[in-house]
Amino acid sequence: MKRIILSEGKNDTIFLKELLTIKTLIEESKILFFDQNSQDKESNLKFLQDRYFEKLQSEWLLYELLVKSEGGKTKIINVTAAKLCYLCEQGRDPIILIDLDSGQIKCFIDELEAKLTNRFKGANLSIKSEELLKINEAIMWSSKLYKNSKFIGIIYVIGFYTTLEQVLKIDKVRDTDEQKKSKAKTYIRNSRIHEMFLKALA
Amino acid sequence: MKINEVEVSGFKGISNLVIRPKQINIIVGKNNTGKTSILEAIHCTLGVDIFKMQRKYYPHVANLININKKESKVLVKLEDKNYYLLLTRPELKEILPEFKKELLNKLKSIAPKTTDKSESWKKAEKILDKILSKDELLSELENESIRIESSGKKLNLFSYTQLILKEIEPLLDYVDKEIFQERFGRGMLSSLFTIRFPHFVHNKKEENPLSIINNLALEESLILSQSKSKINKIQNYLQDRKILKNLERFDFDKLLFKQEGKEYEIPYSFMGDGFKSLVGLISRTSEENKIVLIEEPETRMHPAYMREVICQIINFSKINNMQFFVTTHSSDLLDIILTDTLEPKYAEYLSKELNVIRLDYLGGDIIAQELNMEEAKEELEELKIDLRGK
Repeated sequence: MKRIILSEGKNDTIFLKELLTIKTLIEESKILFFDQNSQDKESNLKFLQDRYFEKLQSEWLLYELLVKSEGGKTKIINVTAAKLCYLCEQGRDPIILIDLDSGQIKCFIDELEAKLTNRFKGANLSIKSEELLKINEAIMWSSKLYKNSKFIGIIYVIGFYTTLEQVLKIDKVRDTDEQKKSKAKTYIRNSRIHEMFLKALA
Repeated sequence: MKINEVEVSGFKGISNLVIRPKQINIIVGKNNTGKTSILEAIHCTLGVDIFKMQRKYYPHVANLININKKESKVLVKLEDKNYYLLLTRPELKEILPEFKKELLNKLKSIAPKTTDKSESWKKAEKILDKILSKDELLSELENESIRIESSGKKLNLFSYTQLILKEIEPLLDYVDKEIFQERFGRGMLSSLFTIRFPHFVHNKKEENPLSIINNLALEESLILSQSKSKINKIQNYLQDRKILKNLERFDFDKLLFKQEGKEYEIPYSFMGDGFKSLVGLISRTSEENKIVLIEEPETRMHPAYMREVICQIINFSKINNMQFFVTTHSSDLLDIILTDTLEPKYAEYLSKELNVIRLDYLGGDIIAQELNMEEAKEELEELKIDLRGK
């Protein structure tokens, strides 16, 4: 099944690219990357998001996974709400990767739930969330979505307790992309973070 | 007159849906996600013309009830009054006597004057009783009949399907063939049975709250009824908004232009469909407190005229307190509404009164997402998502 990972920023996509390839969770050529922030907002990019969803959808292209960085947690929530029908109807079961900034993962999930139930007011949508896995530096929850008590999809949320940059020991300003990749590799080899993605992608 | 909430259950493809409209409601979504069904649900419930619905879906009116539901229910909540529509499938025993009576009456209405009426119809009735004992026909009659309930009134509708028409053919021996041929023609047998029940629900004494505009361009009869002041109003609008360059005089017969001192005329009928649609909308300015349903106004219209249509809709809504429900597939229309190119007074009104209703499937059912101006703008401009759904 084709899947989608929604993350916050460019560093997340660098990290995810390393994680997915080092741990051979998925073949690199089958991953499609989208970074909202690196797009030129003034150029003719109408419906750009949808073009990436279509590329993933295409039977002719071999993409199995779309890795997106949205530019912040709020935008992740808004994109999830806007594309929820697509995500559920196509069985994409999205994985969300966020920084908790020393906050609670439940706060993010509550915000996501509030947005979804508010957006789909007349749809009798209900959500049941639970913790799935914990490691030293991250926690994973799942949110199961029901419409009229019928299961319609699942969203996985993986949150670093602090931030990705702190966990990877990245200097946001000084480190080059190559240095970030190298630090990501070191972290991935010495952590259990891949277990979370293995579980979500299973 | 304003609809505050619409609840639709089991109507056509819609299982359960609730929308809370504002003054200007733009309904988007892929094909077959229920855009037209919402307009039809409102249309039927506010009681204008079940007859039109019957004609549109004949002979499958019973299919208005969602295949997975026992009944269709629509509740339209206005500020001061609620309207409802309930469609159910009546049981055979409830409809059989009524069907028989209705059919005989229809046939009697075109019977030859010379026939010995009582004897002849006794025979016809016997034949009909025999026909009505056939299982296949009874099953078809039950499946294709529907009970409509609204405003405290109930009505059974029978659909004369091909099978039913074929079965009752022997009864045509009892009607006046000449009258029949003259009025209906054999090939139009079904039309004999279709034309009935005009204005079942709508009480003519009450003001009709609805204005349905499937085609913005005015029909011939409406063109003829336009007053001089209305025509002047249209002319002023066209000149003020510079819709047509060098326009001197507007009329539904001819348009007069003046260029470099020379006058020339163009017949109205020669003007494009987009222009006629715009004129059609402008000519409706005298209506007030109406709920207006418009299907895909963008049809055959350039985006520049589309902008004028949008401005008119906003004006009518604001000044005449009209509520609009507009279905569209046009990204141009959404761009005009949501990008920063509208006059501030229009944009300000939309920021309070725009509701984008996006229909899509979730969990196998049609659902509605309602977005205000800010949310819709964010999706279009920031998130770069196609509001119409993909």
